[in-house]
Amino acid sequence: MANENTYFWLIITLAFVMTVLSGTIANRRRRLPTLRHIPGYEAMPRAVDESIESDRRVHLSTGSAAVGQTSTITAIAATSIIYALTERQSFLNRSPLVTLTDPVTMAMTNDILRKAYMARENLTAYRSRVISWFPQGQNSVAFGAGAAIRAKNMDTSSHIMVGEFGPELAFIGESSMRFRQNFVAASTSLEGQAIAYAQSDAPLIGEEIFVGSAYLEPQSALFMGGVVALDALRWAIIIAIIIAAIVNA
Amino acid sequence: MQADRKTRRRRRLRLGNAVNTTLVLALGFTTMVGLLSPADSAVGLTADIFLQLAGVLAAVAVLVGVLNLLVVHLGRLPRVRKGGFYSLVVILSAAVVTAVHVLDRTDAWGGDLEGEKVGPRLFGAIQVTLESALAGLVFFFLVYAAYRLMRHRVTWANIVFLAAVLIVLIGWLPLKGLDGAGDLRDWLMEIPVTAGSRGLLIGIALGTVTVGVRVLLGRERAYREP
Repeated sequence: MANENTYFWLIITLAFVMTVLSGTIANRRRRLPTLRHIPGYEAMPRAVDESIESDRRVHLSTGSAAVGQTSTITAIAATSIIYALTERQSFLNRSPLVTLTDPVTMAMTNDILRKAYMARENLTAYRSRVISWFPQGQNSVAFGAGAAIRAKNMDTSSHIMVGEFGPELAFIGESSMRFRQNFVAASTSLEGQAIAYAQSDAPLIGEEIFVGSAYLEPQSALFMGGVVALDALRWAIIIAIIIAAIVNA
Repeated sequence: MQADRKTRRRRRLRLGNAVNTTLVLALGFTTMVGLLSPADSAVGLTADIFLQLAGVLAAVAVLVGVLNLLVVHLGRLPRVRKGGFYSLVVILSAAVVTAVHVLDRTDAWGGDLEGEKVGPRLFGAIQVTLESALAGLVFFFLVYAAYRLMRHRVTWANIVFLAAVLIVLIGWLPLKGLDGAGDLRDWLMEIPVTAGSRGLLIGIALGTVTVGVRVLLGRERAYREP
């Protein structure tokens, strides 16, 4: 009888094989797979472009996604999105505003921002003070209220909230409606996801948060490999559920 | 000359990438295997040490954060400027909370407070009350968001979303003659909502696995130079 470890290794092995294999094939063929349309990932670069044109900032946030906690991977996925969006506007002197609640993620995000400015050889424009930390903890309402006010004071034109959020996301969403700012949100927690769907101009749903790198940096074969692996795993789970339902019927 | 310097820098960066990637691969695989092995095995103990180190790092980061917060706000105090009052409030709050925590740990309270822990009580009286009051506003934000959602774009998904919100809200009303709505709400919560939540959570877990694999393959931005 297979135990939980066996299933874990099976999923990890499948993910490894699919990521490497599809990445290698795409590299050799020099033709990357076509990705399906996700409105959230179309809205994000557009929001950054709008902020560049209007000479305003963009507000990026990872929420309570924390390195070293169960949301480590969410924090890594969210910082990848932050990198791609910051790199897009890093030729300017105006940095984005970043808000979060985890101190270790703060250090990592600081480094990510530095790299984004370094990629455009504009390191002099990089400012570590644009990252704001708010009181720690999941569902920290102080974070929602504080980040919304901070974003207003720093004249932001868009909020791009990708990470782990709870009901506190509603404060930022409401602020975006009041001040006519763009609002794109996604959360790995169910409460935050519901609010993101209701308030967002273009929401991301569920696992879409983890494919940000592939959508925002489509030239990378390995990132595309990750998307193919995710699709393969999804189909494997669907088939397993159907088989289990038929067998148990 | 400048080109030489750039090439040297790029080589140094690539070497840094290689070192970082090797470290991440080694530590990542050891931790993963350790977590799936018996706790008293060599690899299990090694993984435990790595996890403890991560905990220490997080604690140091919090400490650095608190010190930085105090330094920033202390720096604002001598100059009378907008927000100076709030800086004073932050510093006083930090001092009071620290003092209360020390007194709690040393059981220094006397009289009615003897043997009591004042810190959690203070937290409950101020922080929890304030957060609960703010959380009460979320309901109004969501109702307005639902209205805006339908005004913005009318799609099947949005209609289903709004219908679900209305059924759940009406189902909670304690009025006679609304038992059917209550039953419908219960069915909605037990079957479609549970199924949808599980679907979302499975999707998030699969996404976590694929990003985790990318991390283990050494392809993440966090430890690579551009």
